[in-house]
Amino acid sequence: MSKPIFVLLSLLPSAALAYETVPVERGGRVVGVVRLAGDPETPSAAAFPKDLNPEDEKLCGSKRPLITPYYITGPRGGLAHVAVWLEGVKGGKPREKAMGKMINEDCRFVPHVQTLDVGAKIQIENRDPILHTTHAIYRGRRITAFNVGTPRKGQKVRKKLRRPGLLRVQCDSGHVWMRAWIHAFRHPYHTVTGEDGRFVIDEIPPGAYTLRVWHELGGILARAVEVEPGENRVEDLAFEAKPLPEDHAMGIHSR
Amino acid sequence: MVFPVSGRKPAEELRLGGLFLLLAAALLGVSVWAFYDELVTRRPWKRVRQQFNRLAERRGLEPELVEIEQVVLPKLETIDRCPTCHVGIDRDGLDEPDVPEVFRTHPRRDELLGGRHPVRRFGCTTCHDGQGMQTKGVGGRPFEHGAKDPFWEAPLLSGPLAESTCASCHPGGPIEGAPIFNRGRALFIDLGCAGCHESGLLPPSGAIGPPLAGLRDKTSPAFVEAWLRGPHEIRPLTRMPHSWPDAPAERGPRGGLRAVLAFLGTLDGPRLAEPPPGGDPDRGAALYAELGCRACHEPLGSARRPVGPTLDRVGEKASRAWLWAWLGNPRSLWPEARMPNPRLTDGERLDLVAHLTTLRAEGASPPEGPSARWPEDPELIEAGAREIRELGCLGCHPTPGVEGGGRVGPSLVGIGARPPERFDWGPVEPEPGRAAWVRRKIAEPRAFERPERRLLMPRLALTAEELEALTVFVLAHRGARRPPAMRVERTPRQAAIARGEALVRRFGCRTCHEIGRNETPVLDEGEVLYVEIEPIGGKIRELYAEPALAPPSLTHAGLRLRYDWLYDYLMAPTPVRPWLPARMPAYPFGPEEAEALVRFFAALAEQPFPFRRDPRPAPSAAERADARWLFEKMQCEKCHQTEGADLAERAPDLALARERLNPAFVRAFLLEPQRLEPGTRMPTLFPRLDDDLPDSHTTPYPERLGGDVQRQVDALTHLTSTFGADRAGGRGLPHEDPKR
Repeated sequence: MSKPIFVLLSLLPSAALAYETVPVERGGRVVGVVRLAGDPETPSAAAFPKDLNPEDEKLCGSKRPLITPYYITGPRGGLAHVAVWLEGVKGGKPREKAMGKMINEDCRFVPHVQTLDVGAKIQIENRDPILHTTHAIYRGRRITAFNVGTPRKGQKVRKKLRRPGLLRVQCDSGHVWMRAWIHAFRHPYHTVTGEDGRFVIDEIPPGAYTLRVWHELGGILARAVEVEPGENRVEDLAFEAKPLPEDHAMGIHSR
Repeated sequence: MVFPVSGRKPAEELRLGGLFLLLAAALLGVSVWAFYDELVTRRPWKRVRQQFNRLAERRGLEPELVEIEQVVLPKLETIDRCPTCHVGIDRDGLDEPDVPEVFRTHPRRDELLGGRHPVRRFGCTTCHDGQGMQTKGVGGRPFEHGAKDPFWEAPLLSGPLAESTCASCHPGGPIEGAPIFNRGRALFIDLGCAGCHESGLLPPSGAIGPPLAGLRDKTSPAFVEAWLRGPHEIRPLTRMPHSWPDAPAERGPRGGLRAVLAFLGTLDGPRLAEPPPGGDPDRGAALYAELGCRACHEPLGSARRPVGPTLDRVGEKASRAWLWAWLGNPRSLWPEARMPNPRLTDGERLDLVAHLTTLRAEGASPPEGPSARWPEDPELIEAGAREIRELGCLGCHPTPGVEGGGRVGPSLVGIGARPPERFDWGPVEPEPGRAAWVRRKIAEPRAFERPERRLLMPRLALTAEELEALTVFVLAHRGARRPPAMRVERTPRQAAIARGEALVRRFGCRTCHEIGRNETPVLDEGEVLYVEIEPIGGKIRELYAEPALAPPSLTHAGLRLRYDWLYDYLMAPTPVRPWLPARMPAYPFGPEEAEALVRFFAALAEQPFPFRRDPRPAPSAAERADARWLFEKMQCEKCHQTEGADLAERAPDLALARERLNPAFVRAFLLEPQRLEPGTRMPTLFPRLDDDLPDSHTTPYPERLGGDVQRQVDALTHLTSTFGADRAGGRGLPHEDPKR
C-alpha cells in the first residue's frame, strides 16, 4: 500500500468529527460481497527469528501455520478480513462503542481485522503461557496507541481507543510474524467482511456517501453510493490478488 | 437741522456698513475655522476617541473620555500617548477582525502583554519604537506613525520588526516569544556573520568553513572554479556566500576569481594516505541509508537548511583519498569540523567511499587529484593572496599558514539605533526606516555601491523568511539603550538551556533525535480525548519502520540517564542499542561542551544538577527475592540481557543500567513507558485498571509483595541496578551524595 493512502486514512476521520446521534427513519442498508480476483500466492513456511527463545519457538510453531494468511477466501472468491465503512455520514444511529477484543492465542492475534468506535474499549487477552506484547501503532504518523505486556496466561487488560485511524498491531516479544489491524472511527457505520466476503451496514440515513473498502495488501477502494431506504446492493467490489510482500515471512510488510 | 454723524451721504453709509458686516462675518469665519482646526483637524485623536465611543456603545463597552491618554515612564524616559488611539490594545472584547485595526486588541496580548509587559509599566515604544509623544503629523504631513516622515528618528516597528527590540532588555540568547529574532540569531551564527562583523550580541563565529589548504589533494581546479562562480547553483542552501555577485567574477578588488583559484592551488594541506583498493558501492549505499547520513546531509531539493553539505554530487568534488581520510577522522583535515567521526570499520569506510565517489551528475567525472593543472602565474597568485584577505574569506576559512583576515566588515554595534540619515543608499533612492536599508543590503549586498566606494560583502543564499529574520536580528544591535534595571537576567536553568541549544544546533543533534516536544490536548465535548504530541526534532525517524527503530528521543535524557554516564557517552559513545540501524557518531565535544550538554538535558527534564542519588532504602533480602521472581515471571529476559555481553538485539542490556539509568526514571518508566518514550517497544506491564484513572495501575502478579504495585516497581527498579556490578565504574562528573 502506498504511503499517500495512509496519510489520507489518517486524515479521513477528522471529517467525521461532527457526528451526531439522530433518529434514523426509513434507514437504508448497504450490502455487498468483496471478492478476490486472481490466484493468491501461498505463503511459504516462515522461519523463526534467530533470537527467539526456544520455549517460544516450540509453543508458537506447534499448532497452526505461523503466519495468518493474507488472503482468506470463501465460496466464489469472497474475501475475508476486509474493513468496510461509509464516509460522510454526519449523523445517524447511536455509536455503539462495543468492546473490541485482541486475543493472543498460539502466537497469533485474533481477530485479524476489526473496526471499532473511538471511545470504545478493547480487551487484550493472553491465552498463551508466554509473554506477548500487544503494540498498536497508528499508521501514517506511527503513533503508539498502546503497548500492553501480558506475561501471564489468562491475563486480561482493557485499553480505550482515543483517536480515529488505522492501527497495526504487533508483538515486540520476538514474535515478529504476529500482526492484526484495527480501524477506529468516530461514527458507527463500519464493519468487517465475513469468511464469505459479505458485509452489511444498516440504519443509514438516506443520502449520498462514499463506501470505503480496505484490505491489508489490496489497499483501499472507494465507491460513491446513493443510500435509499431499504436494501442497497453494491456490486463488483474486488481486489486483485497481489504478490506477497518480500518479507512476509516476518509479517513486517509494507512499512 | 440734523446733520448726519459722519457727514457722509446715506448711500456711502450703507456701503461701509456692509463692508463692516462682511469683515465681521469673515472674522467670525476665521475664528470658527481656527477653533475647528485646532480642536478637530489638528487633534485627529479626538475624532478617533469619539469613533471609539460609538463603537463601544454598539458593543456595550465602557466609553472613554475624549482626552489624551498617556503612559509616563520616568525610568525609561518616555511618555507614550499611543493608548489615546489604540484604546482596545489591552482590553477584552475587541479582538475580532471586524473591529477597526486601530482599536483592535494586541494580537499576542496574553503572551506578551499580560503579566509580563503590562502597558502601564512598559508603554508601547519600549518594544515598538516610534515617537511616543506624537499624536499628529508635522508640517501638514499625515501622521502614519512616521512611515513617510523622514524626520522621525525612530519609525514605528510593527509586525516581526518589533522583535528587534527584545534583546535590549533580554540579552544573551534565544528569547522566549520572539521566534523571528531567534531564527535570525541562529542564522547569524550558522552563516558565520560574526566572522566579518563585530556584533556585541554574539562572539566571533570561528572556523565555520573548512581550511583552504590541501585543495589540490581534495578536489580539482574545475570544481573550485565552478563553486566560486556560483555556489548557490551547485548547492542552493549552502552557507558559502557568493563573493562576486552582480558582477563578472574577474572583477575583484585584486584580481577576482582566477587569482583566488591560483592562490588556492599553492596551499598544501595534510598529506593524504592512499586508501586500500576495493569497496562495494551498493553496500556503501545501504550503509549510507541505515546510518542516517541524510539526516544532516539533506538531498538536493530539500527545503530544510542542511547541517552538513548536500552530497548529491560529492563524487565530482572530493577525491577518493580525501573521502577516505575524512570518514576516518574529519578533524584530521579540519580541526573545527562539525562532522562527527562516524565510527566505521575499515570495510564499512571503504564501501561508503566507493558509494560516495559514484554520486556525480551524469557524464561528470571524478576530480583528477594532484595531477590537475592549477593556474601558475606568480602575479596572479600574489593578487589572489590579497583578494582573499580583502574579501574576508578567512573570516570563515581560517587557514594555517595564511596570515591576515579577521573581521573585514563594519561593526554592527548600534546599527539598530543609528540615525536614519546615516545609512548610505549610494545610487539608490532612499526609503524610510532602517529595516529597508538592512534588508536590501543583505539581499543585494552591492546595491549601494558607488564608483568611488567599492563594496565587498558577499551574497548569502536566503529564503524570504530567512532574510526577514536576519534583518530583525541585525536591527537588534541597538547598543545599550535601556537602564540596567530593565535588563532581565536569565535563571540558571534558562542559561543552561540556551547554552545547550546552541550546541544542539551547531552539531545538528535534532536531525536524528527528538529533543523536547509540544503537547496539545485534543478535546471532545470538553473531555480530553487524546494528547497530540509534536516532537521537536528527530525527523529522520520517518526513514525507519517504527519509532522504536529510530535514534532514541532525548526529551527525557536528563531524567533517564546518570549524568556521569551521559558525560562519558558524549565524550566516547559505547553501544547501548546495537540493533538500531543508525549509530551514534563520535562528536568532538570538549569537556566543557559535554558538561554543558549534560546540564542542558538536566535542565530540559527539570532535574537538579548535580545528580541526586536515589534516596530510597535498599530492599530487604525477601523483597529482593520477590523482585527476582517477578523479573522471571514477567519474562524481562525475553528482550533484556543482563550479562553485559553486548549481544542485545531488542532492548538495552540491563548490565548497563547500574551506571547508566537514574532509578527515578526506571520507576516512572516501569509504570508508564509510553508517556516517557512514545513508541517504545517496552510494554506496559502494570496496566491501569481503568484507562481514565491515572493512578489505577494493577499488577499481573498480586501474589507477591502484597500485590502493591509501587513496592513491586521499587523492587524491580532496585533489581535493575544490581546487574553487571563487576563492570568498571564510571568517571567524569561529581554527584551530590545525600549522605555527605
